[in-house]
Amino acid sequence: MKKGDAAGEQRRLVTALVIALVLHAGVLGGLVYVQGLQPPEPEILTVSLVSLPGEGAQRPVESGAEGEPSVPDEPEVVDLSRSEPEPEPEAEKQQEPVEEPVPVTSPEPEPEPEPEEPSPAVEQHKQVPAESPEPERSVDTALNELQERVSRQKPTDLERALSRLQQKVKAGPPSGLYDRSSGPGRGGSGAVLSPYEQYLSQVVAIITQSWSFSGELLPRGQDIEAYVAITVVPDGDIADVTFDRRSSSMYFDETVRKALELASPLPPVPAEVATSSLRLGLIFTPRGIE
Amino acid sequence: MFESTGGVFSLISDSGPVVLFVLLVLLLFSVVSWTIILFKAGMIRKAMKQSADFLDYFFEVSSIDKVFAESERYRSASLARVFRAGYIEYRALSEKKDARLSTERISRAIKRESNAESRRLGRYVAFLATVGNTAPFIGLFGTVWGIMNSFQSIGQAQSASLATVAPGIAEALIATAAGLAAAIPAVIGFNYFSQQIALVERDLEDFSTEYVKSFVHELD
Repeated sequence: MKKGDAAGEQRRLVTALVIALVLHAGVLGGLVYVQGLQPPEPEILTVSLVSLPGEGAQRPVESGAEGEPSVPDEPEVVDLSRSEPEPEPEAEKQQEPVEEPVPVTSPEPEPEPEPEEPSPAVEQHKQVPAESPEPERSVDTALNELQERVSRQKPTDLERALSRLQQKVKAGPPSGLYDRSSGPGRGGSGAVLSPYEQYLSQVVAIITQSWSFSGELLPRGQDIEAYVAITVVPDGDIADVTFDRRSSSMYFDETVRKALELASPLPPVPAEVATSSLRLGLIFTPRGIE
Repeated sequence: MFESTGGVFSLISDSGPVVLFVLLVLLLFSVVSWTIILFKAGMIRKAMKQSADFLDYFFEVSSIDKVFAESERYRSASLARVFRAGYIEYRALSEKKDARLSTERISRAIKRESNAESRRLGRYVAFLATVGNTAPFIGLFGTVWGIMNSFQSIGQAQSASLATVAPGIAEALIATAAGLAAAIPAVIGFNYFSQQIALVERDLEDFSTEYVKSFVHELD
C-alpha cells in the first residue's frame, strides 16, 4: 500500500509539474500576444539630409511621433492659400463681373518669397485697388465697392501679418546661411551633388549621429527651431558655434550644443569647397537637421 | 523607452548575462512553487474531505473491525491513516491482556503515525516559504546589477539624457518584477497551506485520544 501511495504521489507531482509548466508557458505566450497587439510605438527619428531631397525635406517624418511637437510647416502654407482667398471669388462675382478693362497691376512688391500658391492669391487682392477708383458709378455700386474694399482689406492685412509671421518662421535670421531647401536635395532626385553639398550632407550626418534628445522633454505644440551657425576650420574642427536664434526650449538648445561638441572634429573641409574656414548654417528641429 | 518598442521581451533580450541568469532562476522558482501549490492544493483538499467522511463513519459504526475495513476506502484521509496504524498495533497486542501496556503502545503508535502524517502534509511547503522570502531579493539583485551596468554605459556614452538612462533601468527592473511575480503566489500558497495543515494536525491530536479510547474499550 505504501508503495502504491508513493507511486500515486509521484504521479500527482508530475501532473502538477506539467500543469505548472503549461501555466507558465501560457502566461508568457499571453504576454507575447498582448505585446504584439499593441501598436508599435513610433521610434525617434533620425533624419538625414541625404535622403530627403528638396522641399519635401520635412515630410517623411512621421508627424505623429510620440513626444514630438508635430507642427509641420506645410499646413500653414495651405491655410493661407486655401482659406483666405475663398471669399474673394464670390465677392468679385457679385460686385464686379467684368474685369477686363482694368489693367492688372500689383502696386506693392510681394512680401513673401514663397514659391507656392499664396502668390496668385495675393495677386488677386491687388486687383482691388486698381479697380476701385472708377468715377462713373452709381452710389449703390460705389457703396458696394467700398464695403467690398473694407471686407477685402481685412483679410489682406491679416494675410500680410500671417505671411510676415510665416516668413519670419521660415526664413529665420536674415542670413543667407540658412537656406532650407539647400543641401543635397536642391537639384531634385537626379542631380549630381556639388562638393559643397556632399560635404554638407556628410557634416549633417555626423552631427545627427551625435545628437540625441528626448522628445518628451520638449514643450508640446510649439514650433521648435534652433538656428545655429558653425565655423569649420579647414582641418575639420568646429571653431565657433553661434546660436543665431535659439529655440523656445533651453533643453533643446543644450542638446544641439552638446551634439556639436561631440561631432567636432568634422572631416577636413575639401579644398574645392573652401580654402579658408567655412561657415555653415544649420537649422535644428525635433525632426532633424535642415 | 525610445528604441525599445518590443516591450518586455525586447528588454529581456537586451539584458546582460547576470540579469538573464537571475531571470532564469526566478522562472525555475516560479515553476517549482506552482508545482507545489497545485500538488498540495489537491492533496490537502482530498485529505480534509476524506477525513471528514471517515470521522462520520467512525462515529456511526461501533465495531472497530468494521471501521478498519472501511478505512481502506479513505486512503488519503490523515485521520484514517492514523486509525489504521492504531488498529494494526491493537491487533498485534490483542493476545496480551495487559491493558496499561497496551494503551501505552497503541498511543505511541498513533503518535508516531500522526507525526508522519504531519510531515507528509507539510513536505515541500517549506520551499514555498523559501521562494516567498528569497525571490524578491534575487530579483532585486538582478536589478541592482542591471542598474550598475546601465550607469556604467551612461558614463561611457557621456550623456545623461532620458533616452540613454531609461532602457537600462527598464531592463534592470524586469528582474524585480519577475522576483515579485514568483514570490507573491508562493507566499499566498504558503500561508494557506500552513493554516490548512495546522487544522489537520489539530484534528489528529484531538482524535488520537478518541482512537486510543476506542481500542482500549475493545480490549477490555
